[in-house]
Amino acid sequence: MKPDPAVADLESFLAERGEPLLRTAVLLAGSKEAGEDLLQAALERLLKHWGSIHGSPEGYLRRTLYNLAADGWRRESAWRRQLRLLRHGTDMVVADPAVAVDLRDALVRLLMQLPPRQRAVIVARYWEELSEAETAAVLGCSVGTVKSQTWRAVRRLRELIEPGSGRRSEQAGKKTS
Amino acid sequence: MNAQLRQLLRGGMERFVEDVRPPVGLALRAYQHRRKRRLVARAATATGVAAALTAVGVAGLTGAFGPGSGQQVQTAAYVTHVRHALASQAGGGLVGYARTVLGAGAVVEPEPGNWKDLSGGGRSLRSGVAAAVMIAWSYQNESTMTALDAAGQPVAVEQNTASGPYGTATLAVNYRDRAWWRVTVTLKPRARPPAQPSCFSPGFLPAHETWKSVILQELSCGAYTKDGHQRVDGIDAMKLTGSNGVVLWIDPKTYLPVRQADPGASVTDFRWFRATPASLANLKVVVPAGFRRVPPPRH
Repeated sequence: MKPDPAVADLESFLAERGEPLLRTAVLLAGSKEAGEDLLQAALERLLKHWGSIHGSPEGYLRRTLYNLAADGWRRESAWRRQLRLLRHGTDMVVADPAVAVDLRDALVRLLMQLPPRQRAVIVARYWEELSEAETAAVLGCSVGTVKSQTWRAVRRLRELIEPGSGRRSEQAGKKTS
Repeated sequence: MNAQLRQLLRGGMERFVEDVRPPVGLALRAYQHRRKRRLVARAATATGVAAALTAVGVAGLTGAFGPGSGQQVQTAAYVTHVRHALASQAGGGLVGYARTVLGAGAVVEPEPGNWKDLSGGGRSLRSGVAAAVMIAWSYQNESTMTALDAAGQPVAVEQNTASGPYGTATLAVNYRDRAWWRVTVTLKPRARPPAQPSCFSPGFLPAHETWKSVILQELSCGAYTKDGHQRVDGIDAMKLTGSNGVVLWIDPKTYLPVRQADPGASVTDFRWFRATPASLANLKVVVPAGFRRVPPPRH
């Protein structure tokens, strides 16, 4: 088979930019294997529109990664199964929050059990350090949605390092509303 | 987010991805997977088109009959058979047949009105079945596609029958799970019909009555170019090469496909038969005794 010339161009591009993209994909998808699958799915979409993309394909690829991840990408049941497993793991780690390394790992595990859209927002804001406006552009949503999703996600993450803080902020929110 | 939480989260994420390196050939893998998936989608589309148009069509994936003199004898008989069938058909049309050998590791899943290609997804294939060969039969508003394993045993069957202008009734049997389901899906008609494409995509498999016009259109718009003649299965076939590398051999007298090859991915062989009780029996699907009925998958 004579491979499409786009494949050679894409391989060169991935040799340069593949690592940061895959890292983002792994964080969005929750594991190395799932991250590779997610990046591959995004590459397939990129190839479909290769002829109409001018300049670097990174922007398109990044947006596709986030959108696939935020839309659940895989079947919902798969996410649910993952959720149950991760919840179990998190409970065990929280038992000893004094250990910083465990806490970091526990935070990441908790990140992986967030709903896909909340996780995508957290990865965009705190891994890629995108602004709220940039995150909204990548995810194709409003800045208000980014803010609300971030607030919900952070509340759950904070609960891990400051038990009870999530409920307090929720009660505070109810009182003010 | 306070500084402590941000720092911890950032540290955790860095640890989580510190060993991540992109595998070599990821772009090629994506390219090959996309090609393979398009093939399955086209085959399924062809089945749907055949049913929707109430015309005779055949859904073909890829596949090759083994070479050999026996094959040549069989093919010569087939050529005569098809031309007689075409000459003698009186509005009933032909029964189409296609045999496809799927690439290694292919995993498919019957869906209402369609098949999903899960190959290459790797890790979430609980619902799919590993398949080596796909056999498709089609006649008028009905088509049946069977997935076989490497030993030639059926692993899944799906039968689609057009039901009204927009509906498709699907019966599927999953041999691995000893289960079956049935559902009728009605597609909502589009508010506005899609613009007529100026060129068909190479590899698209239309119903047999429209093959000639499709081929001529694809040649005129440059999707395919004539690439001489080659002897294929005993036929002096016209070789057409698609702009995406797909090669199609057609019988110059009937304009029906003889073989389609997507180099490195798949080969499809086609047969066309008169509609007889024997050939039509291939479309029939019987749920084996003891199989349990399950809800159809979401799509």
